[in-house]
Amino acid sequence: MTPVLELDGLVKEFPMGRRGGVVHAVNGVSLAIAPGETLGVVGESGSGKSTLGRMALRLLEPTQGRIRFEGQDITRLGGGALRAWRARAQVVFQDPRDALSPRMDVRTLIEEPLRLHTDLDATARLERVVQLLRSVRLDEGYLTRSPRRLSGGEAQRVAIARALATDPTFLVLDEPTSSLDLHVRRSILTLLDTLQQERGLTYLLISHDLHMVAAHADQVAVMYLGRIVETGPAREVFEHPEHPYTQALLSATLSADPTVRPSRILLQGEIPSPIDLPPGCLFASRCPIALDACRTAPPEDRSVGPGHSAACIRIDDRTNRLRTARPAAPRAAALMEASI
Amino acid sequence: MADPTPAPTPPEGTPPEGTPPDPPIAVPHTARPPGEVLLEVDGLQVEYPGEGDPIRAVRTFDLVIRERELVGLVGESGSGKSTAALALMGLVRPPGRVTAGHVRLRGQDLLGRSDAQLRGVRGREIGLITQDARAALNPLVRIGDQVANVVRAHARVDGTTARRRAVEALRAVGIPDPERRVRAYPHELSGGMAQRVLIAIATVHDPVLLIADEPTTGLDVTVQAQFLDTLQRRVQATDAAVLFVTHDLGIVAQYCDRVAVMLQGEIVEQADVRTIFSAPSHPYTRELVGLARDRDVPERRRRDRSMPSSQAEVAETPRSSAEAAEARSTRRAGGRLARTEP
Amino acid sequence: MTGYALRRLGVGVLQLAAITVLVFVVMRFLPADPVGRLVGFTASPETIALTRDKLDLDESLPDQLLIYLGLREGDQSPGLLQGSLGDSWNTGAPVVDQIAQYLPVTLELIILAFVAALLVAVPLGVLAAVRGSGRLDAGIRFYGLFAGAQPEFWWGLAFIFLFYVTWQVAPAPLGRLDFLTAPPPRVTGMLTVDSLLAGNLAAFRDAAAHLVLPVVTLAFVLTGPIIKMVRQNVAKAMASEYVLYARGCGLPTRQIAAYTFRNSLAPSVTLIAILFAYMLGGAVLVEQVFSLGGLGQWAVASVLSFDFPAIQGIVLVITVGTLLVLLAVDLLHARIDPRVAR
Repeated sequence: MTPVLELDGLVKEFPMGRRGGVVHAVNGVSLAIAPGETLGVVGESGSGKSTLGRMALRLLEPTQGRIRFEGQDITRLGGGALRAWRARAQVVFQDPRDALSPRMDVRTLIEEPLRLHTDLDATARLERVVQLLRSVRLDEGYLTRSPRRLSGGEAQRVAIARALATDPTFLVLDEPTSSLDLHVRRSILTLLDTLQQERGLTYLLISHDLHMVAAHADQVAVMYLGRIVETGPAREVFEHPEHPYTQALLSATLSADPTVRPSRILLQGEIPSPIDLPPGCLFASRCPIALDACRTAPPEDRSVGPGHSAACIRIDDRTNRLRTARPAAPRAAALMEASI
Repeated sequence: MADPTPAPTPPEGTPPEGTPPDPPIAVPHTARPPGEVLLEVDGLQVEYPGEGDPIRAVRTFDLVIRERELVGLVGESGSGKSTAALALMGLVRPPGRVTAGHVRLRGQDLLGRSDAQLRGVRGREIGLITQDARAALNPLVRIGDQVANVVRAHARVDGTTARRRAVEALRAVGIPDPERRVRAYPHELSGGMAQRVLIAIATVHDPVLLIADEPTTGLDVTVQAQFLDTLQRRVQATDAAVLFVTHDLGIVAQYCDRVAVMLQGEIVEQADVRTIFSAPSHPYTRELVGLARDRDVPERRRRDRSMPSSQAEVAETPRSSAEAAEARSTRRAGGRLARTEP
Repeated sequence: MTGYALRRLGVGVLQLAAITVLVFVVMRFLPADPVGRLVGFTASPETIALTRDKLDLDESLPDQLLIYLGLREGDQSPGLLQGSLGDSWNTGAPVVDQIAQYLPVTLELIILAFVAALLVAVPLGVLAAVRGSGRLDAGIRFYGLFAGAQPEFWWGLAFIFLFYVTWQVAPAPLGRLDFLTAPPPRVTGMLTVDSLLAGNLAAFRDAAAHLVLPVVTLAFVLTGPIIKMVRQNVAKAMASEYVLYARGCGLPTRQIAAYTFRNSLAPSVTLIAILFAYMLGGAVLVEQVFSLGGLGQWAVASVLSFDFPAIQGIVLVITVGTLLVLLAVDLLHARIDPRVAR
């Protein structure tokens, strides 16, 4: 089956103004997403995940590399062809209140893409807007609301309805729940899952939260400083992380159960600047098991299972596991233990 | 929900062949935290002027913190938890003001004091760590000078001594090469490093209480882990009590002894950490704990592709009671409150 | 920092060269007849041809530019690169000498007005910000609006009417000294300075008395925007996270005031420079109203008589002055704010 989206060796460098120098935001990323699937791109700030999402939508021009959409090369698409293609690939951003103009009401906001991309008349458009609102579980009462009078969750629903207006096949979800409270997060994610099944959508889900991505994506790519360090089926990567960074990322999430005190990986060292990247493995400065060889040349991908690969040289002799340490208990508990 | 089901082991790096993996252990949390009463808060209220009636950001707030105790203050955006925490040291963002209540630190009333009198308490007896370190640090002053300024605000020492103590404080929070870093400006630091500078400043005078106002919001998880580790080491070294304001129940579960839950300006429940998680009594707490527990077990929610969800299920999926409550409060405040605490 | 200064200076030189050429070319395309204006419209064709030749107006435009710049020999040589701005077509005197005569008058006026405006506006702006919204703030705001609501010459005339005509406390608005006062020996060209250098207190008093109304007029209009800007920047700094955090650290009031002032200074400096350049325009009108005989008045006369070398010289001087002020401000800004010089 032809992938919906294929990225091939994408590179993005941002020039740094007067002084020269460049920020290496994305450093050679290749990936593909099958129709109807969700690819989760996970990374922390500065990993280049959002830049990657923007390049996939042609909102940013790649410095190098190719982008194919449903088999067609769209890297150099321009003018009317690009505008027409935009109807098929849409985006939902992190903060809906920034993405929705406060000067328009909900109806105008959702109607706008319909005016641009369809030749529906006013009645048909209104009908479609109501339909879209229903599909994100909002009623007609919201038509005349200003985005300012929406809660975070409601605003994100409106942003999703707007993204769906032109009936796209592909959505980039750039941290769609990060600005929302916990309880709203779940309902938005459930909504996105449901919409995917109803409409056969393909998602590129960008997030810093590996747990969230593991629950909602089919495939995962873990990014660190603009490179993919590990990729594979979501469950596989989540349950058997091979790259030291993926292991550290998973271990850093704190369990919301005070009776469980899992031992954790404690990282030290600082993240290198994307302006001045080291020559070898980018994680070497924080990696507890880095060798001298890690600092000289970037590691190649190693296959560690079906469709699962990671870029770490210590996989070769199976010494890529990080040791964990148990963190100190809360003080009151510690004193209690001491008194026993 | 009240029954603490054995939670599945969260994923972690399995140690190398031969070493048995660390089993999860049950940590005994105490029902009665040790130490004398350090801070007492009665009926604290904070108001902001609104268009008509003033908006009560903090309405019912009673709290006791004992010596060396780590207390989590939990709530979602706009619940008033940050406002309340800052008000404990007499800090209210203008145009808000404290309209009622008492705060006593070791029996000494704080709120009745003038700003000048509170100066001796802030930074010396109560240390503060705020959310966005790079906004909290003065962008135009070298970080070494900022630490030294706080040293000199409460100790009669000369400039050289203050600078030396600044270097030591930065070293204690794991800032690499502190002799050189003192000359850096805040914008030259990463978010995680700037946040550790705040720990250095907050603990430089060995305070009895630390107020940490969402100190890890905006940090990446691996950086957050480093931050929490550093904070915990400094807290143990100084024997301070901590009021940890957060919306992250993971932090609460792993680091706090006791928890107070805030909803719309009120503390709706407080208890020791095990009780909060095993037998939450308020419906809101139950919902929060349930949601937080869920994320430990993503497999349970994994989509089953062979079974598309039924229409009936879809129709009632979204909109928990708390989401509806948030929507109502947003409308009432005209979107203002929801923005005050990101 | 030095690198930054050199880069800024290099850019300044390029800007200056571009403006010089641009002004020269634009002047040549004006629908003006400077020769007819010089020799009279009834002059014989020979006289006109001779004058055109003497002024190099018979040369092609690129050649005229080369001669002006001093890269080619012509009747109007030497040129700019030899340090000559040419001779005035009106008076035949070197433009450089005339600038030396008129510029100090204007500089004296705007420097004094600027200092006076800052002395009044900065404290008022700070006061308005510190007191917040109150009667004082409202009064200061009203003053700012009121002062800025009318052009300089209108206020000049109003002040003359009040202080000279009605109350007779100010001298007649006719020049810089009374007719009977002997001017001090010329050193800087600024009468207040020269009279002090000569120890001539009578002349100083007279010169100062003549400057009071023009300076007050110019300063009066200028205070409005400065107050507004200082008030905004100080209020913004006071509401900032780093001031809240500094209070939370128990820093002394004096230090917080210093933080606030320094941080509000950085953005203010740039705007003050723009106001300084803007003042030149105001000075032209004020000089006219008070017959001070400064650069502005001379510029108006030169434009009206199509005195091309004079106009070019004036534009050049103003450009250099403006560029120097902007350069100084950028360097000052970089000195205050480390984020700029990167």
